[in-house]
Amino acid sequence: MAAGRLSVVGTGIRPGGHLTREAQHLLRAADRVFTVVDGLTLDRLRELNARVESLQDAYAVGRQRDDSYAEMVRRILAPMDDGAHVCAAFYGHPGVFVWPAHEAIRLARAAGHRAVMYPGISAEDCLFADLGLDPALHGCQSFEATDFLLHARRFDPTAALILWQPVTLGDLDRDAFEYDPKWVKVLAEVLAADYPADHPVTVYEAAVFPLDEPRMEQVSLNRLHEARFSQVSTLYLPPVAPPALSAERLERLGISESDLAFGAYQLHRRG
Amino acid sequence: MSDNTHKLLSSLAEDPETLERFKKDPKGVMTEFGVPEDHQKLILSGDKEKLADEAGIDHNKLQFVIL
Repeated sequence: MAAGRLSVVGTGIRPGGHLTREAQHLLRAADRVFTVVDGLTLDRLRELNARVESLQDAYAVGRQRDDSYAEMVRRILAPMDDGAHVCAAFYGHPGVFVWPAHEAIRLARAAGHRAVMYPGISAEDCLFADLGLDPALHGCQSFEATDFLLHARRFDPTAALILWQPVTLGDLDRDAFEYDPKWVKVLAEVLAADYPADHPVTVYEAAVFPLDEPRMEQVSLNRLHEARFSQVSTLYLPPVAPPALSAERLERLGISESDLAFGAYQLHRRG
Repeated sequence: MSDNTHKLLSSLAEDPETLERFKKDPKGVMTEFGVPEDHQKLILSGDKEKLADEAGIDHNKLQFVIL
């Protein structure tokens, strides 16, 4: 078996516009390209390489997502046994919420192939730009919404909170792309232990189509169950208050608050 | 979808300057790209769903990777 090569790239959110130069080079150079992207991006990839195969047909209504992902990984890895250079292109960042990308890298390396992931622009990157959110300002926590709800996470409401994929809330069989408003209501109740009932939650969707604007719909926490989520929705909760200085830690460090030179960002978050 | 409409949409997705010009003068930019009259009407109608469908980026017809 000849050692193959796997390059995993992200195509970003905007079709073509977020495709990095290094991704374009890899896409051109690859013997085979496998991809999960929108139609406009697919056309762009076909301009770069004639041997592009969409993996969209791995999905089917009622089929468990994990089966679809396993099929994607099998198809990506198959040509590598003949020594091929395969490029797998996923929308967004290939390492952010893309299980088959990580799995393909792991299995390729285990089989003795060279496998590298190259970063792309994720939905979270678009969120930072569109909502004017700098994670340096308050800190930022990012969870998958269902995972967050089902596990008693310790999180900090004085930092930004991003909950991904609310569309899967209540999808117990992992074979649908529809959420259950009851689950959304329970999520809001859980969050209400740390946030006021009218705390703003932004339902965010990055603009994909060139003529679209990003969706930034604000709803209060106690009405979250009335919001509409799509496959590309993300929830953003701003911090409830600035963080408090730790007197205990200042003491351990042998300093007082007056010794601290606050940066512009720290002064900004204090209001 | 015609090649010229496709070129316009690709340019709007890739080039913020063209997008800015398009927002100010959509008719002028579409004419510059040679977009056929029926597609110009479709774009100006604001029926983004139909346009996205024609361009093949209708999210309703796509499944994205979801953990």
